[in-house]
Amino acid sequence: MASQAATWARLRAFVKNACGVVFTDDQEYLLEARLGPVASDNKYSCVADLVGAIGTMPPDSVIVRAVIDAMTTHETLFFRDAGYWRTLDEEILPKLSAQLNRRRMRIWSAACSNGQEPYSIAMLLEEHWPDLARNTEIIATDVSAPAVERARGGFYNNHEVNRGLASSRLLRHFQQEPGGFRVKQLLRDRIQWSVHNLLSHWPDPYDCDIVMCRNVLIYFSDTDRSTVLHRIEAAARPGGMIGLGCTETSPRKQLVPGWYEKPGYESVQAPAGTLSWGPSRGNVDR
Amino acid sequence: MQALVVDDSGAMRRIQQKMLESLGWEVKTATNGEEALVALNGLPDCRLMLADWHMPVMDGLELCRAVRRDGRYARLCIVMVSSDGVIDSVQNALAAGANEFIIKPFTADALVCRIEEAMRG
Ligand SMILES: C[S@@+](CC[C@H](N)C(=O)[O-])C[C@H]1O[C@@H](n2cnc3c(N)ncnc32)[C@H](O)[C@@H]1O
Repeated sequence: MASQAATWARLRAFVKNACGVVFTDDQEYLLEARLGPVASDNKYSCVADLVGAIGTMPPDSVIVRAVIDAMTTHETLFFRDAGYWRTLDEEILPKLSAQLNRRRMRIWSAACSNGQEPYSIAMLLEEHWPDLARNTEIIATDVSAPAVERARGGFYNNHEVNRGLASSRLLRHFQQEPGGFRVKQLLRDRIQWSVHNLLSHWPDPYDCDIVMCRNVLIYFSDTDRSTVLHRIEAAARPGGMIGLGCTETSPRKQLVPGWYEKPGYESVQAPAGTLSWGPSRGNVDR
Repeated sequence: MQALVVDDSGAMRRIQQKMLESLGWEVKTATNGEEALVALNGLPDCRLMLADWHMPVMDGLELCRAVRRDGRYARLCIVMVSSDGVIDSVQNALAAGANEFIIKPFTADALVCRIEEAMRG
């Protein structure tokens, strides 16, 4: 039987290859903590057997999906970082909506986890920008298929609604269900969900007015991080806004923590050489 | 800044007091609504009250209403604490004058979220 260390090494390589998430040596305890339940749910006698088996399974098999879900961190909350959302509401939406010119607005939440982030977008639009809300496409994606399913369902327990969601928003946008609350149909219908890997060759949304890619780059290697930064910038239209996590560093100057603009709209042109990462888009073979 | 924790359970009072103190609040406690009103009288600078819903003598809902009738406490933010996480309770709490509602049991970070919302006004 493979040693614990060998199993951990194998799992790390598998996860890095599947979704870019890297671990350190001292996180070996995650092997049992996170995969133990997946192994027993799927009738493997131990995690080593599970890890041995996943290498030859198709990437969209239920077991591989469960492993990716278990090995990725889904920590999130509604309206995470209040200042970020205030900037969106007070500065970014006024500016971008004025540039729309009859187009629909497109917003991409690129690592949406269990859905709190795209639902926060939908709530904010519905509250303060009702006309825009009906003319906005919200695309929400995550590499974890189970996370996307949880998000699509829009069901949150008491603990999740305690975090970040003003009580007035709970009253307005949710309905009661046993054990928790579900986002009302109106808002659920405004979001298009899909499984998407920021480090695969799958096509990205394009011409986005806003791309949110928050609190996911931190899990990647430097190379993968710059690949993804290029991709999300490519997904934005010139003059579109990109929102990272509030403590994450971006390749371009941030207007306020988290937010920066993709240059190219009218007079807004970044002088050459402002990129801190290379100009060519790195290709990752997966 | 001063905060008042109102709960008939000693354990809950202690937990909430600890959470608030670790956030830098100066915390006083009371065991029911009536005691809370007496305490508030002596705390003109109190900015935050965590009020349990179910308490003997005077419950959290009545306490909210009494506080909101008194102009001296216009700046006081109230977070209603309750174990019934149902929409009707949230609605009633806000109608009685609470700024926010939190469902028991809760973690410190959830409390921080609720306080930020309440203080945002
Ligand atoms: C910590 S959550 C962040 C959720 C939300 N954006 C926020 O800031 O609250 C990170 C998410 O990134 C997802 N993720 C990890 N690797 C990914 C990849 N290669 N492509 C897309 N999503 C990925 C995880 O499944 C997880 O749901």
